[in-house]
Amino acid sequence: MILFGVSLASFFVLKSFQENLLYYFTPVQVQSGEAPIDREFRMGGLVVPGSFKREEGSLSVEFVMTDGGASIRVKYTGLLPDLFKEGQGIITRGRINASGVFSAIEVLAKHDENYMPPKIQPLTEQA
Amino acid sequence: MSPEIGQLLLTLSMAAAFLQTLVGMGLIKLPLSLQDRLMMNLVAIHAIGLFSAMICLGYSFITDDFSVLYVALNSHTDLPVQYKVAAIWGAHEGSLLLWVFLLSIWGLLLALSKKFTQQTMDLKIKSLGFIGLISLGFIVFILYTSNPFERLFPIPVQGRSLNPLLQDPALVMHPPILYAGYVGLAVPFSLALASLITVKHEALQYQWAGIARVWTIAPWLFLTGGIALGSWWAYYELGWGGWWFWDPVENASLMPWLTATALVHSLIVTDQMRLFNAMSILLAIISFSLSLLGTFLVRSGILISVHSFASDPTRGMFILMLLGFFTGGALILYSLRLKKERRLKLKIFSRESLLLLNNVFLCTAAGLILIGTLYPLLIEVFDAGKLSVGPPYFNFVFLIPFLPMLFFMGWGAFSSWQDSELKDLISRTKWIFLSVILLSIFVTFAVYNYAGLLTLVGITLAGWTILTGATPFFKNLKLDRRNALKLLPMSLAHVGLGLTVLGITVTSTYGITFDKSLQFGQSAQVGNYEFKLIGITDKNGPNYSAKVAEVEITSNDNRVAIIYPEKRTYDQNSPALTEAGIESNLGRDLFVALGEDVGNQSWSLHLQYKPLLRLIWLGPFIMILGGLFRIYLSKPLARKLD
Repeated sequence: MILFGVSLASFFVLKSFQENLLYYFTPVQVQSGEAPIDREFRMGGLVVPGSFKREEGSLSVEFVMTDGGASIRVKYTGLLPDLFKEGQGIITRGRINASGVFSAIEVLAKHDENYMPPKIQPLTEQA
Repeated sequence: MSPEIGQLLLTLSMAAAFLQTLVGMGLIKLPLSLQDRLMMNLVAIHAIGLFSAMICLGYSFITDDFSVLYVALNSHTDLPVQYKVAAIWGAHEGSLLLWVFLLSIWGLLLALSKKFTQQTMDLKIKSLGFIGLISLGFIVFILYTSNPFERLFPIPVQGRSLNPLLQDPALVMHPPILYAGYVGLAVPFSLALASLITVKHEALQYQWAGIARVWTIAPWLFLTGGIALGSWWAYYELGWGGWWFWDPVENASLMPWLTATALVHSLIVTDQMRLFNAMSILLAIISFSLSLLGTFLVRSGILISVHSFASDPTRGMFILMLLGFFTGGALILYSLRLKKERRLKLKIFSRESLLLLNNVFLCTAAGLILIGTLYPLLIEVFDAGKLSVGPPYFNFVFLIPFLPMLFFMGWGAFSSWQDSELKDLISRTKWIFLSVILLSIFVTFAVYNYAGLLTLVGITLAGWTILTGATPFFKNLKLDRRNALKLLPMSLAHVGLGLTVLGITVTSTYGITFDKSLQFGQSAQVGNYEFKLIGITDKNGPNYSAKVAEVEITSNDNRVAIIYPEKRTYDQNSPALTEAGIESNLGRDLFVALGEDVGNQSWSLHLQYKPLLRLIWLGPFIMILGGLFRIYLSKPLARKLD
């Protein structure tokens, strides 16, 4: 009985593990069709300056993400993170549809890119 | 001058740690009592040296000495003084200094402990030697890769200031408390290793366990407090009102907590029944190794999260080497020196078996979290793509060991050593079992509504844990007051866990969360509450400016509260920061975070209703009370309770 319980539990663990693996792709990979159509994944890139549009008075927004090579249109409804702005590196989670538009469920902005650069160079320049 | 003095003091502490290691390894030939006195002095020099080094760094912060690179990167003349102090551990270098400083304090406390007798003197000296060795490794790491006292030239006129996210009272306390927990697990680790090399005959191999019990509960308390504080901070400061994200950094603190909890219980058996010695030693090794792993994950910059500071790969490599050295070394020692244990036939429903079973569940939970946390890193290391494991995995797999664990915990509290039978357990707990089931069905249907079997099971198990935890104490209170007080720590810890489970179950099932854009005067319905956006005003703080929304909350036309969520801007270079507006009582939390101006005179808002959310943090608080009382019972002054 113990053996049965353990194997049943392992089966569910593995299944859940499989289902919840979130792969990460860049816009170039997405455009070339490497990303799956039927499941969620994450996409990282920069918000193209000038591409951000908001439906007046609503939470629906649209913008374009790029990695320099390809550009993908992203739709999202909801609050954007504090660090979200054009030109900023972000990560989105969602699905790609047949027409190549990415519907994001979540938008994450990279946290300390601006804030704590590894080198002191910019600081001495400021001074 | 102060950075140079600090550096000198750090080097002095390194020398003391080195000598501590030598004495501990028995390389300095002296009579045992002299070894003990020498060790005491070294431990004191070590701790005082590191404390003074911390003071030196603090002095540089308070005097705005931007010629120190670390200060220039993490402070600013406008930064309020309490945050200048907190900035000491606001980034990589200083937080490592805090790490070794706390380790030296644990060492000092262990050296001052009255628990050691003539017989266990050697155990004490050896374990302080191991603590010295750990400290030595980390001080070399600091001096070699992450010196907080490094100077900067040319000297900037202004610093880059502390990350605004970290400018918060809870965050002043969160790192030291969590670190005290992480680092404190070095004490049972050292005691366990010392027991492996000191014990001459089998009968003495259990002595360390009696001493280690309190020395495991103490860091466990700090871990519990640190995790709860971190979760609370994430809830109101990170902006979106979540309290747990299965972020690798959170996982890094939860894993040692789980194994340390297992260790606390395993040590009870080793101390009282002289059983499971191998398991206790192994759990002590695993717990500290997971602490080191946590340090590695957080400090190596390998993860992209709030906690990882941009840093160079040599640091990560160095911590990984320390991790490999201490974990690998400890495991080798374990396999070479472990003594044969006395064997006893275990009865399935005896207390020791139930404790063993639950330790297996706790370790399974830790293991499943470990897989989900490390798998993405391994995949990346082998260049097989980039991926992450989503929160649903953790939410689900955590339940598999945790739900049966909660059930057996209840029986554990009612079982006896060696000879309980299933029928005894059933007859002792049948009334609790029945009333808990009826109560939770009643609560589910009358107060909330039926929302699936899992919720019902969660509420039932929470109630089961609370009642089976509290009953032994109250039963004994009438019969035997002294025994009741001995049971109180267990009762408090179990009740605390039950409350947390109740809070988690109810909040995740019945909580309501959504984003909405509102015009001034418009309102949104969140459960039984109506949130109305009255208006938005400007405000100026000491080092920031803010937009403040006024939100009126009503329930059935009665005003509940007015709350003021803010959007702060600290300076032009840094992005805005959300300060949520929260109205809370024990029954529910109402939460509003301000988004942005979305045009058409509307603002976006994030709205939440979270029932019983506070129980999630009240639970750990009660667990901590239980642990504190257990430590108090081990002190001589508790004798007057007899």
